[in-house]
Amino acid sequence: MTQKTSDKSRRNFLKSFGVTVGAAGVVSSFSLLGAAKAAAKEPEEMVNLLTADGQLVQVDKNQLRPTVTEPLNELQKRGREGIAGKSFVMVIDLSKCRNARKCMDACQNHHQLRADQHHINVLQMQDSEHTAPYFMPKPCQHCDNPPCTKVCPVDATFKRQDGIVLIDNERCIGCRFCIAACPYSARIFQWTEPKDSEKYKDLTYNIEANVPQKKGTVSKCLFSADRLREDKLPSCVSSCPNGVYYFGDRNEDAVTNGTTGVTVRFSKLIEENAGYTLMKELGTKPRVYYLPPKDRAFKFNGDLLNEENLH
Amino acid sequence: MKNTFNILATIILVLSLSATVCAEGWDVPASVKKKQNPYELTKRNISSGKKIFQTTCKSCHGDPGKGNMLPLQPPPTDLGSQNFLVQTDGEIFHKIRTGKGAMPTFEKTLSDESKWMVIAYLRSLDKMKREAVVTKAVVNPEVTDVKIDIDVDSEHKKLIAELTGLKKDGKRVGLEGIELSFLVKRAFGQLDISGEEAYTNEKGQLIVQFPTDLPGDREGQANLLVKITDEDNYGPIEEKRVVSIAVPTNPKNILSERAMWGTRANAPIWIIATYVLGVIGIWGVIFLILFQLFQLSKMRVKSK
Amino acid sequence: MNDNTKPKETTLSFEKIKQDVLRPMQTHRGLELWIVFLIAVIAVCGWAYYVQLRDGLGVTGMRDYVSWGLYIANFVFFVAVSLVGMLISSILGLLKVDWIAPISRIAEIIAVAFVAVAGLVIVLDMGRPDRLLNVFIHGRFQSPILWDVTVVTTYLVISLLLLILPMIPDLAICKKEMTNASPLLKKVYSILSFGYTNTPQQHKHLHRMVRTLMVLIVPVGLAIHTVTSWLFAATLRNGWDTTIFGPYFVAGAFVAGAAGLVIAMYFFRVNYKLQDYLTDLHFDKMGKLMVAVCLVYIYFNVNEFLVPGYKMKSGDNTHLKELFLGSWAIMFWASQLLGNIIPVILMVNKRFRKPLPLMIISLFVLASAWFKRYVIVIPTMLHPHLPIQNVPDNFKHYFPTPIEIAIIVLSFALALLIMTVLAKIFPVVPICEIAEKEGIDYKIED
Repeated sequence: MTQKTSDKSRRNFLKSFGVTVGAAGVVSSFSLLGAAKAAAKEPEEMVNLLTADGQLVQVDKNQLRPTVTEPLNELQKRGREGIAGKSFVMVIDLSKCRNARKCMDACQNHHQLRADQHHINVLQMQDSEHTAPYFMPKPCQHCDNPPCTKVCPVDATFKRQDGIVLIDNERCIGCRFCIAACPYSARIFQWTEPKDSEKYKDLTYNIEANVPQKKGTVSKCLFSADRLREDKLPSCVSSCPNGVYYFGDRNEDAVTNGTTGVTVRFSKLIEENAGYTLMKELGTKPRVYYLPPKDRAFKFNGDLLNEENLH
Repeated sequence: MKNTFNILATIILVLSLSATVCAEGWDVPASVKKKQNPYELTKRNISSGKKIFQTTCKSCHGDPGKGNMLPLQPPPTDLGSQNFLVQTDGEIFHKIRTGKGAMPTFEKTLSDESKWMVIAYLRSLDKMKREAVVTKAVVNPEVTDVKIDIDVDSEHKKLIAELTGLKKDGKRVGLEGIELSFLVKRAFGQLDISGEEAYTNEKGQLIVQFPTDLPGDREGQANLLVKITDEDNYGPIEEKRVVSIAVPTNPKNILSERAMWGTRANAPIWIIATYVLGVIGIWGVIFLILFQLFQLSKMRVKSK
Repeated sequence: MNDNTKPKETTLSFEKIKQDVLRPMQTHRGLELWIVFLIAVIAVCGWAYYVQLRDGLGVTGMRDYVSWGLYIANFVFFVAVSLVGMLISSILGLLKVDWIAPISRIAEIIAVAFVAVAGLVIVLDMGRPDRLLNVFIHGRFQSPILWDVTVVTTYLVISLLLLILPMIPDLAICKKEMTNASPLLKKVYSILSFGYTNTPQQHKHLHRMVRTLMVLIVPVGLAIHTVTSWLFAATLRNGWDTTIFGPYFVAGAFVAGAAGLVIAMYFFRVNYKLQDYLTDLHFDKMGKLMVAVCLVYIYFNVNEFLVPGYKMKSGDNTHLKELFLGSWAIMFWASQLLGNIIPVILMVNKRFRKPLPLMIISLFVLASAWFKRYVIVIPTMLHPHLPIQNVPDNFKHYFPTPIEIAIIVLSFALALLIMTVLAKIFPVVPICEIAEKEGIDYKIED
């Protein structure tokens, strides 16, 4: 698999971390892990590196040399601009979800979150007393009329041209107005030192993944904007084992299923399955579409749904 | 590489998850067990089943015989193994239809025909029953240098592909009855526009209607890839082409308009004006009063 | 004014007024002890804030769902109380209500102290207070927080001016009379009296400036509390997503502010022995004013809760049930009954408008006003549109931690300290204005 790694993705993979791995073999997380094991005897020589799939690995310092790093303000600049001509959308097929929570795990891994911090959260839903319960993965809706960016006092959360709503935790003042404003409860706050903050403290801040996370700032789902830049699907989408997620560019009228890799017409998928958006009455114009839980692939096996759980 | 990453990630995740599904026996009714695949194992049916398998089953079960299934607990069965294939058609059909635990039900999501196609494909891998494979398909002559030529009918947005090969006598002939895939590149994958029966005719030709409403770039261009669907036929044969028959799209930049949700630079004019004028107005008066305040002591001098 | 049955016995002379007002500023021992006590409290609670800075807001009871808690409720309360400055000295002043003369300065002192601390409470709530300047560098015109920061600052400045400007004649007296004051304080008196000698020209000039400020503070005062209400009303949350939040908050602020003023009046009357100036009449009038503002507030409460309670649309449904009958019922009904309804019933009775009973009622009103803000902020955060799931149990409830409470105590101590210091160095009752009202001639020498 090392041979398959193109030069381009090799650079992409490492450039945000300010180092280039000199040794030819040390490219993927696999070989990084191997190198880490080999050099484990001299811990003072080790440095922490983050792989593209969100794993932290240790590598022998001798195998690293500094390179032309993507400086912070360059990352910030392109992160704020977004990808021109794109209009990202997600489609979540509720009939396929069986609460496997692989999406939540992959997301927490990618964005350096604790187990109780959710950029995406699989909820057990029941719309009213006599309607059927279902599982609903709930990422940030990346609204086109976002209530959160409206209220931000410092442009720390903003919408870019490709539709993604990002957070700049180098700017955020921690007022949490956006958390109060979001009707989807999509935002979290770093109340204490983020997970593994010691390990990650030397990483250059990447606004498109919002890592490393910072104490006293807000975080939320970013559609894995850093992966999109490399034409990769968001972490949650590609980690789902059940074909729940489709993701793509609305301008191309196509979305790709993260499990099967099948690409379909976005408009047809929505039309044929009566796709809808959450709480349309609020006028937030979400970019996350849901397909109703009809013809389910799995029986609902959630906990007993009680009143308290639902509200 | 992507697959390996996924698998690696999943291994780690799964370790921490307790098994939610138990591999108990399936209750297959005797009547269902006896069922036979009503479709013959033609090349076409097998190929159609393989296509369904790859989009529907492969993500968990992996490729038959390769053992690259998802590391779930219990692990998904290798559908190419003899252990699995000893079952009757009816048993397999029942399992696809009902599902169990982590195995989804395909009762509604796959038609009965599609289910049988998948079974046809799986059966074609069965070492015990291989001889049963009926090859009714047209027999093409032995050829080398197989290639695909693409012709574009821009007026009707039609794509004409011609699959030809070089016979031993040096004559180029069309290859009949071969399934082709017409794929349009999208951001994260290939959109299949081939349609239902995408098999070449006796001249080796296949005409495919390009979707009239499919967006392309600003000039209406799109990247087209035509390939032989099943590599088992002649190996990985494909042809790429940029076609200009897609709908030209000029995506509107959502940031081009001032909006309440926009950044400060994109704030609506009226709100900037209200704020600035309000601040200037109120603070103007405040400064005026401060100015007057210092005149108070001057008045004392005058009054003296 | 015929309800003031007790005729005034004392005859006031300018000399007497001067002495009565200036005496407690010089000789009050308890005041100094009180200041030391407040500073000690601030020091101890300052340590709590240090802990919060060090460990993050995780030391509070707030989590991802209840992301605004005690601090924001307290902020709203402080803003509310500070609005009394605008109510008394501006609205009633412009209406030429003459009995407010002796109490308007106390009202302004409250306004200055509470709005200054309100601005600070917002900073205490920030996750990254070190980035406070970002609000000025990157301030977004669309964000109610920018408006709030702007109006709080503006209100503080105008309130300060409204405190100092009408006090200039008194400060000129202080300059002359306060011979025992420290050199620094003398300097303050000297600068702030702007060479005032009460010439007719100066008198007229000063009067005009004060009138202008009184007009100016009306829109700013309305804005400060309306914008504060928009911090909530600008969201899509159950319980906050309402159109009457602006006037509802302003009405509530008048109640809280008036109660705060009565308590301060009582304190100064007793401690500063100002019974001749802060008379029963003033308490009686304040009691009537409180009845009026409470009634307005009750009216807004009826609208705020009855209308959605009538419709019970989904979302509001759970929220209101929790307020009316659920786990928030005690706090909700206590704040309504003890803070509004019962006080009105009592205060229409003349006996309860005597200083002591009115002060006790005001304590209840003020405490209820504080809890009312708590009920406005927290239950809504606990009832989001989507269920709260897959999070630890402490995310699903909210209870302030000792650190959080200590920081709230800090804010109160700070407000009280500011008030005390102001009352220590400035005459709390306007000397010259009372003399003018009593028709006593006076002269201010340079």
